[in-house]
Amino acid sequence: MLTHRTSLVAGAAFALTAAVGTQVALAEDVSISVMIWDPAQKDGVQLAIDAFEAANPSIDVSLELAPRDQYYPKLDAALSAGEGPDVMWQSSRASFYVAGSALESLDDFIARDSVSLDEYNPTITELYNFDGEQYGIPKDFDAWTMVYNANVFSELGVTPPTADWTWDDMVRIAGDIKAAQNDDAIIPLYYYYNWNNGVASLVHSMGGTVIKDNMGTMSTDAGIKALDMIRNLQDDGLITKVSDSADLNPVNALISGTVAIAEIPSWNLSLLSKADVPDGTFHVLHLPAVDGAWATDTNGLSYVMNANSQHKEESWELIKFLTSDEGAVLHAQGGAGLPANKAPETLAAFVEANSALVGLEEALAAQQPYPRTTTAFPKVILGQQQINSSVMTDFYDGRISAAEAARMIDEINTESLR
Amino acid sequence: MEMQYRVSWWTYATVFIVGLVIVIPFAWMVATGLMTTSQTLLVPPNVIPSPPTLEGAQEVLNRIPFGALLLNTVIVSLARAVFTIIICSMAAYALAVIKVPGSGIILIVILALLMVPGDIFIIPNFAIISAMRLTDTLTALVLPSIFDVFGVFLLYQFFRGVPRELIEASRMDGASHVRILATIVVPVARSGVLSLAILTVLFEWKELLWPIVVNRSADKFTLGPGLALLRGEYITDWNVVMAAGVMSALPMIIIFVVLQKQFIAGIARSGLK
Repeated sequence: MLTHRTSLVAGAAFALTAAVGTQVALAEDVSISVMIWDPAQKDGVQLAIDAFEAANPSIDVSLELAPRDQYYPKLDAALSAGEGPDVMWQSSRASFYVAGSALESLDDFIARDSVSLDEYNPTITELYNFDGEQYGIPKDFDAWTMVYNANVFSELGVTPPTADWTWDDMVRIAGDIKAAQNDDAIIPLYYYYNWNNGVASLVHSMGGTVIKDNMGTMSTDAGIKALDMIRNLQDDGLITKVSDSADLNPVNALISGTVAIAEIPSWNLSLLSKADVPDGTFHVLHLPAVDGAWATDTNGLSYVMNANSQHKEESWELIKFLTSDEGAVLHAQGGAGLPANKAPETLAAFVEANSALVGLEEALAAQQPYPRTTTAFPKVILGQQQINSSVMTDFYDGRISAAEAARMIDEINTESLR
Repeated sequence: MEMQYRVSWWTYATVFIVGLVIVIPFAWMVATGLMTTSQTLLVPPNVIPSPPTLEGAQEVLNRIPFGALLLNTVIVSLARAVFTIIICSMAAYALAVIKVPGSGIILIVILALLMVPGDIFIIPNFAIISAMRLTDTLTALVLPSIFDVFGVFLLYQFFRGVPRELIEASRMDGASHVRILATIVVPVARSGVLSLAILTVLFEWKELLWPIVVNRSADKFTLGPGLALLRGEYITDWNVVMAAGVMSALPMIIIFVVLQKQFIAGIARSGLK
């Protein structure tokens, strides 16, 4: 029976192979592959790869784009079978892949080629260092900005915010936008209301923490105040009711003028700069100051190497180039992805690629980043679903107080960290 | 004698409303596919494209190798249907006609496997395909799905209905099992075989996760993952995605219109929908 079944499988495979053909590997040139997930960054990555191939004619690089939702399932299946791309993007999930020995330590390559990690945003570099070994070279980092649509302010006759604005200024200006309309067609503000980004950033701005000594620390004055500050925006009608916000896309809303001011992460700025609107429509500011600070969470992707790659030397050369000054500049010219490489020309290239956004350079230069909570403490990722779907929903719907919400968030995070 | 039914007004009203509910999303897809990106961002949304444009369809052709994806989908769908029918009909014949020892247990295992979501087999399937060095090929899209427990179960039900007298008479005449399967059982149960073919093609047309996982090159994808590539990470040009949706559905709609009698008859006889 076993023989028959084996024959059946082999026969079917043979017949199918004959029917639809197979790929024949190239024999001479070395071919390596890079896998990414963001279509908006594909052009920039391809620009850098083209330059790499021109400088290394014997290395052929194929750029593979996997949809975000299927990126990790694809990676899991391929890596567990000893396959997968030679070079890939990694995020805060990198620790799981390092634990599974799927990623190659880059320490020897870094030491051999004297690559200085000081050239990269240190917060992001540290994210990919596990037990003293460096597994990823930073590619980009996240920044958070506030963008306002100048046309909306002009039409409503409201004075727009200035670069030195505070939280109170933001609340006042959003109130002016609301008061200047008869029909509430324009939403005054879009602010990230989730715990991991919006709330935690406010806590950090006020000098607090959300996790300390492996325990949740939201049940403090800063934690409770941060929760109340965002709920007050909702209760005052300055942001859309959180329960109705799931489908509100702040980028689309800014472009269509249905939102006056929106919090926009750096990876979405290029979408605004490429929008079909008159020059000078979008103005960029840093987040409003709370107690003199405007902390924003940051994360960043890195290029990592597959531990099973058959071409580790070539893969390293590619990683080195993509994250070098030259590679980062080419990537930035694509407009999406703020380079983690600190060379001034990389930021200049990003600003130039998004030159339609007024005040971008100043807003980016003024960032006050701290490592995103889920990035600094990957164990709490599992609890995020529970925090967002139950605690924050009940809080914004008014069913529980800020103190109760803070206590529940602490319980979930402390449990996750055990 | 045929029974005469008097159809009341509310039957027509119900059919009209249900039909509308089914057609509206498709009509919206067509309308959005004929808009520019700016038109899709209007608030309140504009349902009628004004003016209609083929910009979305052009952008589909610019962004993905649509022709190659369509051809791949046709090849893979047909290959999957043909091989699924061959494999499943042999298995169903063994269970329903020969009644091999342990067929009861095998059927229970098949029923149990029907309850399990197919996605959990992705990693072992990938490992097998990888060991056969078939990743990033069209073969990889077909091979795992032709051993289809649903197909075996479906054909088992149809094959049980084939009169035993026909089979026993053929055996007495010296016909082999392969001959009986090919010349008696399959023709008698052809509506079941046709249903399986149609459903297999439909499944393949909509397949998303497996092609993305097992293949790397965009020109080795089928339409499902090809369309998924049109979705942005944070923002999506919906006119382009909807235009691609219309372009992908169009061949199936044409096939359905041409073969609708056989399609409906096949589905009705199989008791599936």
